[in-house]
Amino acid sequence: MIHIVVAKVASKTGVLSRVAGHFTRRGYNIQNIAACETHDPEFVHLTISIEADERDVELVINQLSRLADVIEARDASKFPSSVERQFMLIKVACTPTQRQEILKIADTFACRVVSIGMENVIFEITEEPSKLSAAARAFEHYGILELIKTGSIIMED
Amino acid sequence: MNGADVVVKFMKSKGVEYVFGYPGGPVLHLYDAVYRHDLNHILTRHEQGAVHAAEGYAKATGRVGVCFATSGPGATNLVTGLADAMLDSVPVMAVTGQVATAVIGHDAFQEADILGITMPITKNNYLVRKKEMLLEILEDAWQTALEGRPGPVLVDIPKDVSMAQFDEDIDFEAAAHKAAQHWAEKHARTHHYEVAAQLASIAEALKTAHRPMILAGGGVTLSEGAGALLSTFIEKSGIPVGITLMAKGALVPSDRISLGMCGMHGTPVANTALSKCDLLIAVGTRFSDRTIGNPSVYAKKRFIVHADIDAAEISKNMEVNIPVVADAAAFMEALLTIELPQNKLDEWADWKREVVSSKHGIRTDFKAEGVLKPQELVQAVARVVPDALVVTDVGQHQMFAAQHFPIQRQRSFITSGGLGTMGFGLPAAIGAALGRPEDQVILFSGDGSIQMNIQELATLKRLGTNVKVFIVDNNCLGMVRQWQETFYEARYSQSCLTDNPDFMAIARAYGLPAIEISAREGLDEKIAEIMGMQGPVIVHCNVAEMENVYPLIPPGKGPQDMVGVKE
Repeated sequence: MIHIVVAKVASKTGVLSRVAGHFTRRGYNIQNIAACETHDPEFVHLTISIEADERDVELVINQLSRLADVIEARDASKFPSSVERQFMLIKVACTPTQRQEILKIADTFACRVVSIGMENVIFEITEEPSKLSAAARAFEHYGILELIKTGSIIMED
Repeated sequence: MNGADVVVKFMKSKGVEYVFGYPGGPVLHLYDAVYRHDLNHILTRHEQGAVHAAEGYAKATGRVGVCFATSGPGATNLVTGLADAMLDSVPVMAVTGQVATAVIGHDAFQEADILGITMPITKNNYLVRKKEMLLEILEDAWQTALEGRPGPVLVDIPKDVSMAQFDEDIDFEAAAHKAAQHWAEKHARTHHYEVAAQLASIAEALKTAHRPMILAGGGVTLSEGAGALLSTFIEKSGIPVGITLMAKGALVPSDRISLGMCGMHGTPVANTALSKCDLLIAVGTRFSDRTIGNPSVYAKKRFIVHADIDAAEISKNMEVNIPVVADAAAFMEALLTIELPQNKLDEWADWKREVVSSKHGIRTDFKAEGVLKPQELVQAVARVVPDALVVTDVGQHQMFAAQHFPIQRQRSFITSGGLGTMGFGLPAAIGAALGRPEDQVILFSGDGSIQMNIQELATLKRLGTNVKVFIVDNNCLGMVRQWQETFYEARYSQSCLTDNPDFMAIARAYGLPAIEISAREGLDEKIAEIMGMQGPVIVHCNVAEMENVYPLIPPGKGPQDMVGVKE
């Protein structure tokens, strides 16, 4: 199961590699990661998605918590309610004749058009990860030329 | 005053007695400051020797062991010792030189990314990118090494930072205060499984326990006063106690109250008790595979209370019923406040009698015949100097020392438990001897282990410290050979050392007195004579090649699978 671990860490050089190293050392593959300074420039907020069972996540969080630079680490699946978002850019093969059809699909999935060319169209979408996957599936028929996603971010509601 | 002066003055402000190290290019400023301020620096003959000596000092005293090394190869030579200190929770502070900040990442001469390399094997590590950060980092590193569960830290100082000019009136106290605040804030945020909250459940568990047992780990050695509190609890409750390798010496008086060591080469009684108990109270142990073998053997078959200072140890190796995050002494103090169920005390006493009087003794057996046995040697040394500070290397001799040398005092059995580092012994013994100058230090090493840091004989010679080095020579890598005999149908692959050098000649080449022991007859007298000699002595001991360490619980098995117990 995919678990999201969120951590508030001190904004220090190497902190990302320290935290990421903790996951890889214990054999977890980081599915995706988002890291950015918070409103307080002293801290960085990390959101890390990993495939692991619940017990492992607890262990990872305990081990992360003892790092000097980690202020707080939590398992987001324990949030009573939350909002999760991921951002995606997707370049879909699109001839001028297919354009209307593809734009209609884009509209269904709340994708915003970023650029339209003679052979492709680029959309951006910010949604829950499952919606991003659904949108990508819908475009598969036309040919996905490029797909780039950021890591998920999650906030307790 | 330059950055190097700040480092040396910092060390002096912390009361550092000894720094172990080895000079080189980017630490020339540091070594100049060592010279000018007359810092007590011990030159080892290899950086690995420096870090193990720092470990030995720290393990013997509980204070921070400090080592210096230069950049690149100097720093990478510390790696094994830092990993060793990490696994055995030893407060060690390594200060390394680094190439100048302007050329970091340019593959400069003797540049290595020691921060990246040591990240997983230190509690925290630091690169001082700006001179303004130096003092704060030194303080934070120092406190990190000591706070909570101790461990190693590394501070990497680029050459331009150690050269940079600083104000004379640098405020060490303010920096110390800031670092302390950082840790206080961190601790204030974490409060899982506090002892007060769990005490009632522990009392309940005791009320229903028929066969309770305590397992004491290295945390009892590290936590001031924990051993005495635990001894009190054991005497009061009559609950039998087993120890791990890292708790050797923690309980006083050990023989009267302890069943001995649990684990792979533990005593039959301790392992039998471990396999039969219905309530296990584990204090300051991480349930290492060498202690418990296969954790699934224990799962759901007994109720487990686990107290450890490190929350990350809870349920890491063993699923437990009542977790407690606390320092061992604090936990024992709390445990002593529990009203013991009086109706249970007789039942527990019966259980303890049953365990102790079982056919398996506390000491393991061997036959004192033929060529001198390593066990006989260890027992003889223990008879002559029972209150010695014992240091070991790694292998069969280490386990023989653990089994046959009853340690009388705290912090008096110094060994590489977690990492199992051959070559640890000699430098660690030197560090321990400096930290405890009043004590008789005994090093048990092997013919394999001693050759892994044999250059430190030069350090020993220069210092003249009171270390009696027993090279337990069985002409092979004994533990490897034993496993090959037991698990690989006696195919002795690369474990024979029949062409060992002449250790007596080596000792003499280093200018050290050398004595040979081969005979059983007059063993005690000979050892007494060696102990009467001033300063270091190298004792080359010819022992039986094919002796095995028993009992043995094969890896991945449980206490019931113990082999080699003589009926």
